[in-house]
Amino acid sequence: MMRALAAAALMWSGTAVAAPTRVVSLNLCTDELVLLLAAPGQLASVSFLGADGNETALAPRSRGLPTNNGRLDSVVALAPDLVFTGGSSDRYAHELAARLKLRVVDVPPPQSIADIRRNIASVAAALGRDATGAALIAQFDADLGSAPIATRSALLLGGGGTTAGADGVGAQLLRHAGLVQQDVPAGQVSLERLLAEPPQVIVQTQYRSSQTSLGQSWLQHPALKALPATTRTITVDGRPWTCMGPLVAPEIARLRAQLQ
Amino acid sequence: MTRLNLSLAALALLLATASLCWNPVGMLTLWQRSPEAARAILIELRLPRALLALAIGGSLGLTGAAMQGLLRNPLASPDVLGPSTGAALGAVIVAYTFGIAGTLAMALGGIGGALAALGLLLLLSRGGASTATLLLAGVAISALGGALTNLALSLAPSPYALYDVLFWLLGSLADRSLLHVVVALPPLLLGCALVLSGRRGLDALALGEDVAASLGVDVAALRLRIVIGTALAVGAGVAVAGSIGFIGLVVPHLVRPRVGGRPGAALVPSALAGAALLCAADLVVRLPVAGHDLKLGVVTALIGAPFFLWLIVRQREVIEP
Amino acid sequence: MSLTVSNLARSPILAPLSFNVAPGELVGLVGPNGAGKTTLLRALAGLTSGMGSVRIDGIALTDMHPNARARRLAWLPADRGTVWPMRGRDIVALGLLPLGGRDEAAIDVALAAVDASGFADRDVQSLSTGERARVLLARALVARPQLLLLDEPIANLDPEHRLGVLDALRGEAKRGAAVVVALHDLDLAAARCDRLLLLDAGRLIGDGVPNAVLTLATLAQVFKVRRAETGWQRA
Repeated sequence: MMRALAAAALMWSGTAVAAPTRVVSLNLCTDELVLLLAAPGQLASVSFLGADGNETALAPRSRGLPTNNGRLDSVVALAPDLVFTGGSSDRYAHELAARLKLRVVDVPPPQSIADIRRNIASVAAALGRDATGAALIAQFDADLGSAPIATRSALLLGGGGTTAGADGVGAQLLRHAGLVQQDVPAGQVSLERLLAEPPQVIVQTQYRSSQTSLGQSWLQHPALKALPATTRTITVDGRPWTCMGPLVAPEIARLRAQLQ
Repeated sequence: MTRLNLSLAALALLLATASLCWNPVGMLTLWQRSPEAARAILIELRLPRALLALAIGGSLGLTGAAMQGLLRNPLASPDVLGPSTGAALGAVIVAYTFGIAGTLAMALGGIGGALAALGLLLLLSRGGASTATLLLAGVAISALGGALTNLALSLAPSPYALYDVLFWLLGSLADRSLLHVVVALPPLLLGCALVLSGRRGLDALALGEDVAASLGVDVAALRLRIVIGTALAVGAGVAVAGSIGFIGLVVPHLVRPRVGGRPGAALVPSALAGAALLCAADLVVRLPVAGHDLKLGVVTALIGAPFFLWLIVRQREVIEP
Repeated sequence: MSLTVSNLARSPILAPLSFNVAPGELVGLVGPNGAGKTTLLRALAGLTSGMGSVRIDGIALTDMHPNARARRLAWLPADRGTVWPMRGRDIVALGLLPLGGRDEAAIDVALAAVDASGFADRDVQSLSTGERARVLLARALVARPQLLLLDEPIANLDPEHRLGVLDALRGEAKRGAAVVVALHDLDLAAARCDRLLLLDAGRLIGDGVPNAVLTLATLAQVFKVRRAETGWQRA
């Protein structure tokens, strides 16, 4: 038992392991990272969301790959030599991985821009693709640019009035476009508050606009026509904002250009 | 009786006015700063909110009283016996399985679902079912409806449909529009009118279906009228505001002692009291509780469930035959 | 108002039977448990459908509008249960539904006829079974229908009120109503009814004046009892 644990710990540490060739990702956000970083032929499976064009712009890159349902047991048969999970707290999955001596790398959702860089680096390292990772981080920093003095108040607005926290990674990203996210309690803004305290910029994320969603229909409420002329609404692709990973940097660059 | 109606109507209107005038200082300041935004808040947000609270609360109280009268059972109500769950299922299937967006489609789906659930309930309780049979049938129908709703959401194209619908199902009148009012009110009012037209028949049913028939009441027609009316009102209401529990169950019990127990006479005051109660609950959800948004269905359940337990304890000998 | 019943049957309980009741006649319906008394009364009220015909003044029940039928006859079930906490007065008022209005004077008369005025304003669920039974009977009497079909109206009543209720029914007959009343008290049935209908196992085996119907033979064969010096005894 002790020996098995020691062996697992050794595998987890990731040292002295050859570049994996059967990599599985169980989460949309790790899907995006591996699709950007992995060498051809390294991937064995991504989650079904990673293959869905409604969820990520990288979906075409996963063409031909088997998809999984996000659960470890659905990929065991593929005999993976590296599994990525996205902030998984599923104890049974971890126990199963330990029992099967699977190498699992967990990539938690970023809480800051530094976390985004760290996630890129850790995935790249696990894949044995440090150079590609460094290049992606450099590209990410270039797109993001240096944070200008943020002057305009803003709301990053999703379906149903969901919005970002005032000091979370979303707010940090917006600052690079010159925007200050308003402080809204509970990450949820009501139309009344939106009208009473309108920000200067509304960054409205559009997500699965072809499908019914009560959340998306909230964004079409007629009362929003009464927003003052000083409030500018910019509609953006909602997909990169789901994970707030490397794909969000070009969006920030585009936002910044639009606002200048 | 008329005085009861007048005071309940006054209470409902008072609470609806409070709903319109919520946070008056903030509104006045906003009016000076941006009259256009203040007007939009009043006309586009608060007016539909108050109207829907009155109409949906009223329809829940009315249909609760009518179902209790029809089934001669003090534990009957749309949310206990399945029509609300059926309405949610119908609306979800229309919107998420067939992808027909829009308030009207969801309202029609809700009405269809409520009708199916009520039809099933009447089929199972044919020939006068006992309280136990009726409640078990209702529990089974509710469970089936809930499971089918989750199934429909799991099979929906959007992986976040379940999350999307969860908040709607908890019940809310926030951020509704005048379009919701225009779509929901006609079927809702038609349903209420149908139910109200059965008032005398419900009184006769107090002594059982056979006595009602011997008094010249066409019991089958009365049942059909109340079932269709309830389905119209509950289906349209659920499609717009989600599931709001306990009003239909509790309000008739509050009203009954004041109308001498007559099931038909309880209808109008139950509607007025239901309207007042939902308006009050919709004021409670706007109180800031640690910055979090309370859900309407949660508040009505938190108020209604303990009250109902108290009623059961107090009336145990009445409910147990 | 005359009641004409011909070849009425309700399978499997009632075999085809025919009889008439004239206006002003108080007719007792007797027979052991399970003889079909309740089924017969329900059929006479038009609550069930099946073979044969029931005519009131020559018009078949099935040809009448439900409301027209309700104005001509009143039916009192043997079940004394009530669901809602209603006042006695409001229960009695239900009997006026076919006439379309509420008539407090008529309600008072009906309540007085069964000695229920004293608790007319109380919740019926707080009344004793006998008191509730009298309120429910007043409901059947209040519209002064031409045909009264009453299922054991004196069960659960004390001796005084048994007599009082039968007096009230005699009063209804005197004003011209035809009264058919199911009874288990054979002494009272014989003493107070103009005629008895004897049912046994769904067949009408006796129709006539009480002494002709309740003979020693029928008592022994149908009811399995005999009259002894000390009262009724099992035969």
